Amino acid sequence: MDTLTTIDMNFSAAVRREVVADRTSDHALLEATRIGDEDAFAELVGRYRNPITNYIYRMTNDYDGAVDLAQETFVRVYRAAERYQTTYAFSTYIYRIATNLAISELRKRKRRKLVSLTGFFQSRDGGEAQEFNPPDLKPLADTALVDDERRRAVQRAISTLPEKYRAPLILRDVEGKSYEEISRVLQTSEGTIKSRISRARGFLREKMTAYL
Amino acid sequence: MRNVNCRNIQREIEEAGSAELLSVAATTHLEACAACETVARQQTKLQAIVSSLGTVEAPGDFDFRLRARLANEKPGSARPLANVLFSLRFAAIAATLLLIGSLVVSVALKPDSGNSLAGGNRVTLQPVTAGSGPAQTKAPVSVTPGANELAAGNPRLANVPPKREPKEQRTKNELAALRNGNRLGTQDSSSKGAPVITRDQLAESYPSAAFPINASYQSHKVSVDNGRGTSRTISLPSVSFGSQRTLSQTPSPLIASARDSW
Repeated sequence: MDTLTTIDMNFSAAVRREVVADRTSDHALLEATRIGDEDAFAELVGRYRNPITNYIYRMTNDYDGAVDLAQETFVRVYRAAERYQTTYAFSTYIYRIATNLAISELRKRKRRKLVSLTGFFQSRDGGEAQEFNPPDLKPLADTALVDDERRRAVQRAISTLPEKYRAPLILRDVEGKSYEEISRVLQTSEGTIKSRISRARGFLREKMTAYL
Repeated sequence: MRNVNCRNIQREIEEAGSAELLSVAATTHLEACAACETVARQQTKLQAIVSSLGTVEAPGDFDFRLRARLANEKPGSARPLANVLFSLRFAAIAATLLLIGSLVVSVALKPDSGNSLAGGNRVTLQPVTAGSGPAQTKAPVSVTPGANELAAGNPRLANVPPKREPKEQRTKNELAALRNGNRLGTQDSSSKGAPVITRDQLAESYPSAAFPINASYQSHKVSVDNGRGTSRTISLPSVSFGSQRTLSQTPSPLIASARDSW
């Protein structure tokens, strides 16, 4: 009898753990959001607000705009919760929305010609205009300042990459996504993603030669 | 051959992102090729910088702003853009209709002062029945020379069927407008000729009809209103141009007098 009770208790605990794990999965949270659970949606926002804001910021190089677009991303997730299909991971889904919004914003900016000093340095692949970004060759006293300057230079260089190279590079090298997930987010084949990332790194290295 | 090999190695370096992930063949090549070794070193350093970019965090009020945004969108439908477009379209249609309506109203109420000064025959008429005086003035009637004149002279001729239906209709409309307080109804007779009723036409329509000769002596009194409250009554003598007088075939006391016989 004691043995049976112990087994039973262990089983209950296992079931409870599974329920808790399932309850906290992204799909479960979205399912709860669908039936009106505001706390579940808040939990989902808490999980993804920083990664999505960071990703959009790396894409657009504009913090305020990135926050607005991140909010718009969550609004769209909330609005489309009923139509969401659990075919892929939720992170793939939300990154796809964020990517589309970021690319749309970049195209809007391009149309408005908000990018400074453009038009003179077009990329070889006919992508968007490249910003002239001369390095500051003056010696800096502090190593921290040097590193900080390098990071800012890299961010500026990334923001001048054509969007078709920029998104996969950020997803891979900044966000640390796998090629498979990137191909799902961007809805492009894995081979194309690898090729674009490789080209993006080459472009970036050329731009950053003075800092390397 | 060496260039092709270097190109392949550099492509592998870019794909790997770091020299540590290169194949044995590529690593061997790097030991012998300074150019490729430089590329590999730069790529590794760049990868380290990119990885050190860190994560930008969302602001503290992110959740609050998001909730406010969602709360603002909830009362409306799920398609705010479509609502905006619909409202814009509705506003455009409403503005167009308003513009057209205002144009129609302005054209209808436009005072025709220029034409009234230029055209001598354009007057507002309030005819007074002969011999009745101002006290018996009925509704203002627009007087047109011709058939109406005949009808005014002889009540029996009032039964003559109207030959020009649109004009009658227009007169009714003007009467209605005048009854409604619009005292600025005008009628331009300058370009119209007087209708001619021949003896044959009259005989065919009404064989027993007779035109009283004395009717020609009855004068018309016309009250002219300038639209500002000042009216003036003008007595107009009967004038006929090229009309044929018709004598009744039946014995009438009117034709007994030799003075009236032609």
